[in-house]
Amino acid sequence: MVIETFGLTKQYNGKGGCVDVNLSVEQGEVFGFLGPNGAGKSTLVKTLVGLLRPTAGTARILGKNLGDTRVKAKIGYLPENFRYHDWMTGLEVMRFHAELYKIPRLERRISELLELVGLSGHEKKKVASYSKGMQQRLGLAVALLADPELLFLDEPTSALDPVGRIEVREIIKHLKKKGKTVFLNSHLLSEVEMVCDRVAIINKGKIIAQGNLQDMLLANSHIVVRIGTPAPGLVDNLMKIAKWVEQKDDCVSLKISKREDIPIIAKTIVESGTPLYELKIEGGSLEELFVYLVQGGEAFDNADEVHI
Amino acid sequence: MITLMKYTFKEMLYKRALLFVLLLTVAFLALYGFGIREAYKDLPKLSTLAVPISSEFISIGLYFAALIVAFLVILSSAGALSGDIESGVMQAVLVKPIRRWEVVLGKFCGIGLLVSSYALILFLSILFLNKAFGARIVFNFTQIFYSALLFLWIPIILLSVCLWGSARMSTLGTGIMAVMLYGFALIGGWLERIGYLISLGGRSAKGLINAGIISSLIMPTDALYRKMNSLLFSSGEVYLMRNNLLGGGAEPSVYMLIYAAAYTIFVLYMAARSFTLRDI
Repeated sequence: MVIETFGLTKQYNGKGGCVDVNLSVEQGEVFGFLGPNGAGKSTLVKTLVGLLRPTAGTARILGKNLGDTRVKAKIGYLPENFRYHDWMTGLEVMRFHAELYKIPRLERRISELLELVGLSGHEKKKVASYSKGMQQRLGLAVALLADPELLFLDEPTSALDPVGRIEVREIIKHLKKKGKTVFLNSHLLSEVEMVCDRVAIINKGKIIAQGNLQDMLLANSHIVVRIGTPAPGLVDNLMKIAKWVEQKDDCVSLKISKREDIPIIAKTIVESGTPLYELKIEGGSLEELFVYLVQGGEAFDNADEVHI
Repeated sequence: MITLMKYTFKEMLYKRALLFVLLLTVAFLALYGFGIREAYKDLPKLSTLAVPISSEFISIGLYFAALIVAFLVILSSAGALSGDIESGVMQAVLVKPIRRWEVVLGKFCGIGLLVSSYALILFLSILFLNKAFGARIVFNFTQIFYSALLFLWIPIILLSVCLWGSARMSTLGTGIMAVMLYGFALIGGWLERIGYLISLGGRSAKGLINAGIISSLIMPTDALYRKMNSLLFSSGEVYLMRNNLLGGGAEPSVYMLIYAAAYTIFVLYMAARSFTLRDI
């Protein structure tokens, strides 16, 4: 596990923050951490990177305790409220942070990253003259300096235009291909939906759901199949697989609990001799799920499975 | 730590406040130089009068120089940690593979190096101007070396205090605290010297002297200034400035120097500790 938290709690004078967080993030995952404003997302990230001291519980990052200096050499962090020394140029900011990481051959690495985030040609300008979007790009380049095994991105596209967002998404996908782990803290659901493998949702400081993103979406959706005249016993067989089945004319709606049930349903229909004309998933957008959960939808999690 | 020291030093050079202070310093030195040049024209020939008067002129210059250096160090270090925390810059720094005490020490060395260089130039400029315009006093190298060290120690103590404040409080709070402590030490020093002068007349002034000693224990900057004066203006057993209100009085003992050293180290340790425990 790259990240493991055990009842991790960080509160401010007994209020706010995050409470009793139990998370696990595996290597090579893009893990989305969602929640409304003020839910405790940034508090958890800042606790994981060692900026805040937990009030209870423990956590391990890359197998070491929180705040371990050796681990810090392997993580990158783009803060939500990114700010860099505005009296420096972009290049100087990169050099400063590269020196803190003790990176060898830093000039080459710096120019590669400035190119990657689209800041080539702007590196000799003072950071004070950068737009917010440019500063966020610079922050991303700084976070990537050490070629980190684990990257924490706290609202990485909040100041970016649509093109910038796509570029960041591509960078995240590229990192995933390289086997890096990304902890993405965001409330931009479409962004999370496009890049994340697993997600956790936090509300009022507590994790209210976590698991495989596709399974979570499926749990909040239903399958609709359009079939010919059903063979005798088909609906009974489908009821054994699905949580509930509802037939209306040539359409059958089914609620299933896991993705693996979809091919089984198709197979059951075809093997019964019933013509299968169409199979589609309805509902189940992350936005719907998010709103449902945050507004008090019944949920519990066991880390791997999500029940809604 | 070296990286942080290097960039802290660079940051200080970039700050406009430093340029402003440098311009004001040049103006001060020009005005002071003009004043003492005119004053030395009328210096009595008799060395028993000329030497103490020369000492007074130098002491006045150094007293004001110490004030300028103190305010420079307060202005530049009150926000050394808290300013970076408040602006958000510190978040990206502290997730790097460095320990928090290294950040404190890097800031201490960076600011300390620049302020010490400035204080040394100012110290030597005042001695040079006085000698150039006719001060009737002779210094040997040892006197200048040790008194310069004591003069540089004053901003270093203030820097440690500011870093401790900056590690715990806001920039404004730290600035107010440092100015008050420095002012407290100045006033305490004055009380002690007044007490000393009263006691020379045979009257008891223990209350005033004790108030001065307590203020030196809370902030030993004025004690260091007096020790510097006694080193610079002593010739054998004769201390020329003993009756001077700016830096005279009883010479601080070696125990006060040991206390000041322990004070500096303790305060710097507390700065590192407070910063390590602080939520960012």
